[in-house]
Amino acid sequence: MSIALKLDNVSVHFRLHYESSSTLKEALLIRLKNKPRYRELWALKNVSLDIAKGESVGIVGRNGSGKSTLLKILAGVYTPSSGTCRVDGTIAPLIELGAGFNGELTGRENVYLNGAILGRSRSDMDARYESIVAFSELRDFMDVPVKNYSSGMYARLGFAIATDVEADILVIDEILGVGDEVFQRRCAARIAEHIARGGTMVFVSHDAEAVTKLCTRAIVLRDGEKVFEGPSEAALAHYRATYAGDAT
Amino acid sequence: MSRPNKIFEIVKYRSLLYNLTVSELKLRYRRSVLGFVWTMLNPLLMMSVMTFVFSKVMRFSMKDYSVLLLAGLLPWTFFSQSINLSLMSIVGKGQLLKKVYIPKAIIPISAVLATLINSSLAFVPLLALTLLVGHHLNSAILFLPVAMMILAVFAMGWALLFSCLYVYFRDFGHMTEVLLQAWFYASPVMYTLEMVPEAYRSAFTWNPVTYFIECFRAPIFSGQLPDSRTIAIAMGSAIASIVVGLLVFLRYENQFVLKV
Repeated sequence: MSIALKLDNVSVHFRLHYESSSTLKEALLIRLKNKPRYRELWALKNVSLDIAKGESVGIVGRNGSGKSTLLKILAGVYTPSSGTCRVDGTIAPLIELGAGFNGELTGRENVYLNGAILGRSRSDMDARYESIVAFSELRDFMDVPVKNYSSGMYARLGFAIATDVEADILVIDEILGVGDEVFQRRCAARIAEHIARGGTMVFVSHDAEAVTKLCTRAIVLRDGEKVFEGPSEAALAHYRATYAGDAT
Repeated sequence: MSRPNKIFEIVKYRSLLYNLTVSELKLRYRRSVLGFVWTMLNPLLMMSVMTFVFSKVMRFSMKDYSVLLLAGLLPWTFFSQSINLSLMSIVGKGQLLKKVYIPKAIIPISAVLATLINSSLAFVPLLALTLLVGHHLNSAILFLPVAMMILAVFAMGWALLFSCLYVYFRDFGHMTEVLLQAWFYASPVMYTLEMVPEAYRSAFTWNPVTYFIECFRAPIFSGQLPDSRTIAIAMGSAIASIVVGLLVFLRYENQFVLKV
C-alpha cells in the first residue's frame, strides 16, 4: 500500500513570549539581561504516523492537545522542529474556510485567488468555476465583495473551492458545523465522494459520531503525544476513558 | 525542501503571483471614479508640477533640467515604492500564512511586479512631457524596457531582504523611511555626477542606483544608449541583489509563520 502522508518522530516546539520582543531595542535588552522571557512549549512530541492512500484518519484529543498543530504540519504551514513530514500528493487544507479570501475582492475574484493559493492555474479554475458556483449556491453574489457575505456564505464558498479542486488529500479541522443543515449534508456527501474516489483524508473533530462514521482509523493526542492509535471506535473509547479521568 | 526546489515552486505557483499582483492593482483603484487612469494621471500631475517649477520658476541654467529630473525620478520612484510596498507585505499577509502553505517569496515579488506595472505606465506622461518641453527623443528610448527589467530584478532582491527583516524587527519600518530618504539624496536623481565636486565623486560610484539612473537618463536625456560599463554594473548589482535576497529569504521563511 502506498503512503500518502508520513510523519516520522515529529516534534514542534514553540516559544511563548511573555512580552514579545519584536523591536530591536527589546531584542538587545533581553540578550543583555540574559533572562528567559519565554516559556518553552512542545506542541507535539515525537509523533509518528503513516497514512496510506485512500485512508481516512481521525484525530481526537482535548483542546490544546496538539490536533491543530498536527494538521498545520501536514498542510505545510508549520515546519517540524525535529523529525520529518513527507507528503505524496496535493493537499487541500480546510483548516479555516475561506482562509486567503480577500474581503475587498468579489466572490468571482476570490475563487481564482483561492484556486491559485491551492496551486491551481487560471485555466484550471476556469474549468471548475461553474461547478464551484453551483455547489456554493452563491450565483447571485459572485460580483459582490466577500466582506459583505454572511459567515455562512463565506464558509460555503471556501468549502466549495477547497473540495472542488480535487486534491489528493483533504485536511479538515472542525469545520462541518458551518452552514445550515442542508448544506452540512451536502458537505458530508462531498467528503464521502472524495473518499469513494480514493482520496485520503485527515479529520479533526470533537464530534465522535462524525469521526466513527467517516474514519476507519483514529489517533488520540494528549499534551502533544500520541497516546493511542487504532480503529476509530477503540480510539474514541480510549479518549472517553481518559477524558473521564480528567474530569474527576 | 532544497533551495532549487523552492525556486522551482515559485514558478509552479505563478498563477498566485499573477493573482496577487492583479488584486494589488485592482484594489488600489477600486471605488475611485477614474480608476486605472490614476496610474498615468498621478505621475502626470506630479511631473507637470516639477516641470513647471524647474523650467519656469527656478530657471536652472541647465537646458531641459526638468527632463533630466523626470528621467531620474521615474526609476527612483519605482525602486523606493517597490521597497515601501513590499516591506510590510509578509506581515500583512500573516493571517493567510497561518492557514495555508504558499511559497512566501511570491508575496514581496508580487508587490514589486505591481509597482513595475504602475511605473511602466508612468512612461506615457513622462515621454509626453519630455516632448512638450521641446526635448527630442530618438530610438535610444527602446532601451527603456530593458532598463526597467534590470531594475525590477534589483528591486526584487531588496524587497525580499527588507520584507524578511521586517518580520523579525518592526523597527525596520521606521529605519527604512530614513534609509530611503538618505539614499535618495545620495543618488544622482536631482543632480548629475558631473555636478558633484570631483573630490567626492568616487564615493558615488559605489552606489548601484547611480548606474540604474544612468540607464534611464542616457536614452531619455542624452538620446544615447548607456555605455556598456554602466549596463554591466547595473546587471551585476541586480544579480547580486536577487541572489542575496533569495538566500536570506529562503533561509528564514519557514519561521515567518511564528513571527507574524
